[in-house]
Amino acid sequence: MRWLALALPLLSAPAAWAPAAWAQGGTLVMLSRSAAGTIDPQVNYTAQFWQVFGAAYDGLVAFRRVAGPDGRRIVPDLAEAVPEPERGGLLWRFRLRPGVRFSDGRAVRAEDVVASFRRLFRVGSPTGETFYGAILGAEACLRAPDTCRLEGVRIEDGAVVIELVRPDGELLQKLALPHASVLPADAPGRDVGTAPIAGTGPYRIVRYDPNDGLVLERNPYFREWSADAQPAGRPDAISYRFGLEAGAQVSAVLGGQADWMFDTPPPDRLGEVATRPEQVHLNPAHAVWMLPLNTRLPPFDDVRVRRALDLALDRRAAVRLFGGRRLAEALCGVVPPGLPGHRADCPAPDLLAARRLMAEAGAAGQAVALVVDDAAVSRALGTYVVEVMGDLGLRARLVVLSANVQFTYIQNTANRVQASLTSWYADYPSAANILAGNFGCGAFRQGSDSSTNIAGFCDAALDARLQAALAAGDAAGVAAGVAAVAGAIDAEVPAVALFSPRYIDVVSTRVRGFVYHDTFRFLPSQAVLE
Amino acid sequence: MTRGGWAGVAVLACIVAACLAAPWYAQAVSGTDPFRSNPLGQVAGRDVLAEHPAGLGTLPMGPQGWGPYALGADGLGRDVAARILWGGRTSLLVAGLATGLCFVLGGALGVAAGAVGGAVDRGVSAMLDLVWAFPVTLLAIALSLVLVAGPVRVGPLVLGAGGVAGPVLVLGVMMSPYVARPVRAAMAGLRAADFVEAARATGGSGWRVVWRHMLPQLGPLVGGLVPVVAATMLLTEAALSVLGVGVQAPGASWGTLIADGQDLLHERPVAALAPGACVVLTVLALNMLAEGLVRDGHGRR
Repeated sequence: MRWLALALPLLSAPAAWAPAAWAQGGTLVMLSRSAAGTIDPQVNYTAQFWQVFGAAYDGLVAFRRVAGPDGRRIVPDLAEAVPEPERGGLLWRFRLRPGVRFSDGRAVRAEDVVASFRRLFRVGSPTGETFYGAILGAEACLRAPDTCRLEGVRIEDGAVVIELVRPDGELLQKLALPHASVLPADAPGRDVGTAPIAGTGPYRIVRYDPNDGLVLERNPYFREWSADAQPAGRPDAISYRFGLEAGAQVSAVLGGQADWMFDTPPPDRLGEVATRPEQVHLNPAHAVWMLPLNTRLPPFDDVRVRRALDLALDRRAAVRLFGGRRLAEALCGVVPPGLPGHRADCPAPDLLAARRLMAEAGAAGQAVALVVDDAAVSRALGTYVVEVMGDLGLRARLVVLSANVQFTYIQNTANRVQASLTSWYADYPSAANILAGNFGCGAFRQGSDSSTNIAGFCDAALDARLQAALAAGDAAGVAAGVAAVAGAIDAEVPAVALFSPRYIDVVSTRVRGFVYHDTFRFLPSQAVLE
Repeated sequence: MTRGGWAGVAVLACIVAACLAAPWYAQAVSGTDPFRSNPLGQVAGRDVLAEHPAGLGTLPMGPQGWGPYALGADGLGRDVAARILWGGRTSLLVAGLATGLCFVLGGALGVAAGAVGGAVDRGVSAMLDLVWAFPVTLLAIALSLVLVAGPVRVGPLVLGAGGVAGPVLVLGVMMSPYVARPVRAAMAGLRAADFVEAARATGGSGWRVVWRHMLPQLGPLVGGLVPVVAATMLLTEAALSVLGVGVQAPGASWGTLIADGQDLLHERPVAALAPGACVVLTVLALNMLAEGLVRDGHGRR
């Protein structure tokens, strides 16, 4: 009667048993067309792998792991509490939680934190300068990474102290990103490529093959210390498989062979996807699709020509070509909705006024090449923009480059790109992140493939105003200052903003818990599998 | 020529005539500019690009039968039928010019190698091997990247990213071994023929013998090769355009139309299938013509 003995408890308490089985366990299968490069959390700078790092690594602080605006709130993670800044925002003192362990069993110490910040510079983290450049000693570390001492991060009375050379109103947000992950002090001082480093999150990366997939399993040493910062994982394992095209990913997810897809469904599958509303989630992306106009080359070195194009383009057309109003919101400034500096008013196009500006500038007849990538949406938008440029009297042509090279090509000043189509997805919900990353003098590098200030726009006074705004003590002061800078940049039109897209997530029918986070998108660790 | 050959000629003539009528069709039947996008979705009261009824994405108008938007609209709200006719002009022009260039270049090299022999033959053959070994697609991709920066001048020829000169030059040069090889072989065979020996014995100079006695013998070979090479050019141009390195938007060729239609394959398959069918039909007609010419030259098998 052994079967009856086993069955009785189940029969007697079905209600209590079923939800528990739903809440945990199973393997979440994720898909993407390709891998996203190195698995080093301090080097990789892609939304695709930041999502994974969010489940495997922790920093001193974290964005609260919940959906909605509350997900922007900074909460203590490996630190016991979010400290109040000292000395006018120049000194931050963090005390570590006791008892937290890496996935290899070793305890997390203050020395690991200090070593991780040094490593960030030694491995050449892409945000070393832009995010962490205000730390005392960062400048020397950027110049000579191998001998980086980083005096600004040190241990005092058992606490980790971060000292800045100038206040940074968004330091906590930057510390909550994967590049500031805390790793073991003996982690290799180079990009680890495909060999995972031990972390502190609920999962550990056990296998990574860029040609095949990535597997995360439960971290045996993880104990939930903060449900806000790093809640316990729901699935037993996460399997990320690479190699399927977006169309095949849609088929796999709708057919139940996989649970989530990273890539956007192709345009001709959207109608089919929309027939399964319970499996579709639309969320704001804090991103902007725009046309950077090279302010250092004719004809866009004349602000009147830039304003003319800004006036002539119909954002409704751009939204329609992207997939309609549910997938994108028209933008007439570079800051997306929900962030300070966003312009809600989007005037109708005015071709007559635009032509007047062109006549004043005497730019009619000038040759312009618009460089876009080869995605269907980009080609369609590029074709429309070239037509509008033609309406303004420019001799415009469309240049389509493979998406593999277009983004680096348009950044390099050696290629003398006059106009291009690109998008910027904010690292975290912040207008300053978009403004500094796209229009700050520090983001412009001559002859480099990594010059995100594609327009070559540089106004030292605006940079200083942005820094001053970020140094403001209160959130309202920061918002007002940043909004003013955004308005000033919009007036110069270094880029014509088109729209802000929404993320579309397609999940399988067995995914019951879907949590969308403002910074990390879909949280795989919180997926409840039926 | 065989009846199949004449059928091929008839089909080709219809296709060429239809493509030549593209401006008339766009004006009198379609009533739209096939090179002007309509992203707001409204053309003369018609909803050519509507928001998808299911609520996500956009859906171009489907085929409407004879009249405007006979084959529906593409992803930019343009008339697919009008664009197919315009695209056909470009595809046929590229294939025709590239075939001409290929025969001039390949023919000259083949004749020189076959007629002279010796070191010239070995040198030309080695060069042809080299050209043959280089992938056409790779060269086209490299050239398209160079042209991004601006037009390149090659002697009197100006190669621009958006024009047809680039595809014509790449196809004409890279396909020349397909002509040079058989021409060289035929010329080498003719060099030992009795009537050529006789012409030389009567005091004919080398090039006079080639011109008067050997070249006329190549007629059937060249006649059969022209349609086959033209068909290859058409297919290769389409492949390059599908890859985005042939004719550039907003210009249209059948290849670019197939590429545009790929993104609508699930909901508006005609946007990709119709230009694809045009390529298939034209290649089929060219092959029937080649078959007819070859059979005519060598008798029925």
